[in-house]
Amino acid sequence: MKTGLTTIFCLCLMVGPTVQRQEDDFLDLTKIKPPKQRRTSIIAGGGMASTDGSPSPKPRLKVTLLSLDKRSYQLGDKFIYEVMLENITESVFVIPWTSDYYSVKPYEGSDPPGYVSASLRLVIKDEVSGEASAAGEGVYGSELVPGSLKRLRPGQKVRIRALGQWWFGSEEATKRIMMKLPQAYDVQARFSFLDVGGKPWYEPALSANSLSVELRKRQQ
Amino acid sequence: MVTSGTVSVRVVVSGRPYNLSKSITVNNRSGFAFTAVAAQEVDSGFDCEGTILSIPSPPTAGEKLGRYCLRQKFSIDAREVNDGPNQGFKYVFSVVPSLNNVSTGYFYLISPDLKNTNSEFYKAQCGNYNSQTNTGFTSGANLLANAIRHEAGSTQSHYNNYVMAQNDPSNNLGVVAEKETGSPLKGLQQFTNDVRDILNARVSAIKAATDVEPCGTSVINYDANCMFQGHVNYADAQGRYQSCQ
Repeated sequence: MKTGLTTIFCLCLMVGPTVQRQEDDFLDLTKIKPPKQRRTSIIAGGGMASTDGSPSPKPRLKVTLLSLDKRSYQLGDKFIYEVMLENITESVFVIPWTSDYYSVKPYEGSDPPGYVSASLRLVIKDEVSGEASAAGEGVYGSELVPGSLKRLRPGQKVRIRALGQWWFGSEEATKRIMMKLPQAYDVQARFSFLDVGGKPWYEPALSANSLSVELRKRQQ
Repeated sequence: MVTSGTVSVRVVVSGRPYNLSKSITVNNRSGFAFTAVAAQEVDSGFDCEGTILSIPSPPTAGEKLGRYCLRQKFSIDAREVNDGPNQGFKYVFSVVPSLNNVSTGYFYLISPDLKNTNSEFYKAQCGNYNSQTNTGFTSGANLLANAIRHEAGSTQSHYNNYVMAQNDPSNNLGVVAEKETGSPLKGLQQFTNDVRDILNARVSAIKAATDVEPCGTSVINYDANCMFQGHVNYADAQGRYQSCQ
């Protein structure tokens, strides 16, 4: 029996790395140290199946963009923002609750039990793709890492503070935006699930509100 | 290199420094565009990732005579530039239209009763439609052709909607993924997330375009020119069809 308990304790130590401690309903992703572990290649995917106009599953969360650290930025600047997520379903809804990807998913190619991941980003309107999104933050969780999943009760609200960068991915999108600068944009926050543990795909949740920011060209 | 810009170098020759620079344009790589998949007919009971495609037999009024499923998949291999002027930048090394051995597919199902020329349902389609009086029924042959065309034809079809949408460079998952680059200030994992998020949004856009009803209606008894071809003769609650007169 003692051996069994010792084994369980050791297993917990192995599979339960410490997730950053947070105020219960607040996750601060800006204070996370960069991972020591690095991968040179990451293979991941997505997509969905749909039949004859079946509606996409509606968002389960209401997103509100609470604040931005500044109201004027140069292209390429980092920024800090805060969002509130609210469970708008009538049942418990689970969201990922750590940025420690390497602890949650130590092995590429296999998902741990209950693996969930999501992306939190700020977006602006773009005439070609509909929206252009700034580089964001990922959050992850699995049943193997204590504290990495947040179970939201119906109506429960949580806050996340995150770090982003005014970086729009493709050169084309960046050029389109740069041509207009300086320019004021209405910025919205988007929370998109990327891995949902075999459950149906959820439509990304876009904040109903927006905050206005000015983007400027980068000074050399 | 993954992004355009100006490279500069400081050279010292015989103690004299020279600052040299040259602009570099990085072109898009070829061979990344996804090709539209062919429409594939499936049997009733096909499992489209949890949704079973089926049509009641015999068909009943209000039920569809054809159905489709669009299964979109992608996998990216994201990498980081290890040296050179773009060191630390992230990029998509490759992208393929599959995930975990499941490939993108367009599947459609036609009512087995409509395909069976000996079925009571098929034979009940009298082919006596009068456009002047708007009475009578379409023919079995027309109804079958229109059902196939509505789901999988090369014009006025959900399949054609899919092809047009996925061939649009602003939606094409391969084209979109090829162009994405990640900041040296962000990790490879975050870049991967960002690209997945962007591609998922394009997946939604292709789905929405595919869902648009050909000829503006889910009713399939229209031809490729969106001309009404006649009513469908469905069985009543007792299983009886209106007779052909």
